[in-house]
Amino acid sequence: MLPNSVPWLRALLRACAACLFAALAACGGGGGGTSTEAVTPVATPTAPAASAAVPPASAASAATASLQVDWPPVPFDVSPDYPFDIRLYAIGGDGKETWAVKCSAHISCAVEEGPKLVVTSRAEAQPVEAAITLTVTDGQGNKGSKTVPITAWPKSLKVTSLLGAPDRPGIHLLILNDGFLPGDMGLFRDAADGVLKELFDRPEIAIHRDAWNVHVAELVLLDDVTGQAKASTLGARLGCYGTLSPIICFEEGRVKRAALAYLPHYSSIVLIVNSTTVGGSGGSGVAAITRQPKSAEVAVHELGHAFAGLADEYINQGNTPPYQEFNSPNLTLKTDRNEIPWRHWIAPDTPLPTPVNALTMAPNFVGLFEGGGYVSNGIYRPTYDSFMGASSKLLGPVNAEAWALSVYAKGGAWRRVAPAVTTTLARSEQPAGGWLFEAQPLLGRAIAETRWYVDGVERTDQRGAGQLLLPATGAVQVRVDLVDLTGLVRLDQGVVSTLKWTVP
Amino acid sequence: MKHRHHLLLGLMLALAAGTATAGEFVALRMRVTANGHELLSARRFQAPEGTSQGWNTHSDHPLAWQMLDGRGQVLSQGTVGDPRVLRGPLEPGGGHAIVVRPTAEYFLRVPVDARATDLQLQPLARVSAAQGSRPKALQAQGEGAGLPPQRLDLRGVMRGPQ
Repeated sequence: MLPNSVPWLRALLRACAACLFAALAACGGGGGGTSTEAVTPVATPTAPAASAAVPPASAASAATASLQVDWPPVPFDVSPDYPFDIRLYAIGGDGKETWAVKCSAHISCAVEEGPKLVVTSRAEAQPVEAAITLTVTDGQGNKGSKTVPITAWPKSLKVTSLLGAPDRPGIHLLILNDGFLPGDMGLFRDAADGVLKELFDRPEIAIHRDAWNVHVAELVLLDDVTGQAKASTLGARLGCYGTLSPIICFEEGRVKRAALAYLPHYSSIVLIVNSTTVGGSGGSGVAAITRQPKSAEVAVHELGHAFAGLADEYINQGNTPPYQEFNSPNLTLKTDRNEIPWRHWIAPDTPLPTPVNALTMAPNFVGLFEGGGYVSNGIYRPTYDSFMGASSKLLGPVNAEAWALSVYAKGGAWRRVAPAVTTTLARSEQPAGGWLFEAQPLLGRAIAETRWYVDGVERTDQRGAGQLLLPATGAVQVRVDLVDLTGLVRLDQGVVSTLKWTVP
Repeated sequence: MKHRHHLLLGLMLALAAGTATAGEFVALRMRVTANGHELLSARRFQAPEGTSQGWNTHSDHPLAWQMLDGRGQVLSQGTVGDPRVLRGPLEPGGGHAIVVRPTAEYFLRVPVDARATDLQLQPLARVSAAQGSRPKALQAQGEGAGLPPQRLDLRGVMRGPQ
């Protein structure tokens, strides 16, 4: 990119480029040897709306010397689902422009009235870095041309489920890769396995493993001409905020577009970058890590934030406490036993705040430890240390409860519910055999159990059942609670989900 | 802005007007800059029962959205993390580095509902100033102050071309 401070140089180069293009065009070239689409001239309409949006063609003699295609400076992707459609503009024309387009093998393109460019992907199996060459010619014969890269996404991409299946209820973790060439996919799969191992080697997480679906997509961006794999598909790189910074940056839109194209109902994304340096980043629903084995801990810590809603428990700044209560289950400003969010985990004889000693430093000892949320005093955390303070540590009971509640809240409670709980049940529509209420838990009965209530009274004979049949009853209220049996959830006596039906 | 992206027209055709069904959603591709939020494109898809609950992200820096009908009633709502915020890996003794970027692209996944007219986005806080005890943020050049609430017209996306 040339600096704006040397406009003469830009003008000179533009003029040279125009000459070069003209020479190529005279030789029958004009866009490189990879194009497959026919050139389709389309006249620029003179409709007021269109011409109003085009930069004014005043001082035409000066302007036409540098006729340019005005293409926005943002990367463009094209999905196979629908045509990509963008309005075309020229800078410096005389208002009588015509357009032509050439595009490479993995996309089809045409200029239609508007004028607008319509592009559709032809990629198969893997994304392809393709190119479009646009040429604009004005009424005086001046030409401008621009070749722009575009990523063509394929209709289907091989997504392999390491756990569960794409169409199964539950939590869907999608693991994507960047920087892995086809021959490196074994390294990617090893790193993905490492994330699963880091996740499910923690017993508090593993106990609800059946609620998880984990998928990997082996992405490789292919060069349109050579068919060779490009170095990066998703633009991931280390050092984007300083050479020594371990923060991973990536083209976020491209990462999520890939996820939406192939697993649109994903819950969280882990992006594994082909680097052996420890690094990572989190936020916006993507945990980026490298394949360095310690980086898998970064992914689990980030899921602690994004999936379980947990706050950082470490201390690294000053001593000014925050001015309002945290909205996280693992930090509080409260010191009154009855107000502490995790009071159901604190033994009656535990002093509050809790002093640090050999007993209270035990991993599962729950109390009220001062410091957390980056500051040293005025704020309290539940355990002496945990994985939200240092990634390698254990979850601790309070964080494990928050994680378990998130499993149920984020899709892991039920695999089938009928009738829909949002439906008002009309008494006149009661089936001949009576109402059949169905609530099938996603997890097995050893993990979670149903408790059915009819007008507030538990049907103990139906404990653990997935259905309740009620013969003709008239008005009735039916409720089913799902109770976690793992011991990880103490809040609300372990009730993790409730469904209600009312027949008025 | 010289360029007016006409992606939405094609997308509206793809989305085609229809009745909301259980498990049917629209992914809204959005961009946030110092000037506010912009709807770039949309895509309709089906999701297995219950999975939409997993799309709400807890965050220290939340972006709350509501989908409204013509009378301003909330039809659905959710929260995602502030898309401008990028968190570095947790480093022993050093904590996270927080980067606040001036612009970011993000997705919202909302249920298909033909009654929906607007997407309302709650203000995004200025991350470094409003979070007194948060990690020192690396302010990216050009980052704007807290963005005001904003409404975007969803009728085209939900109903298809009129």
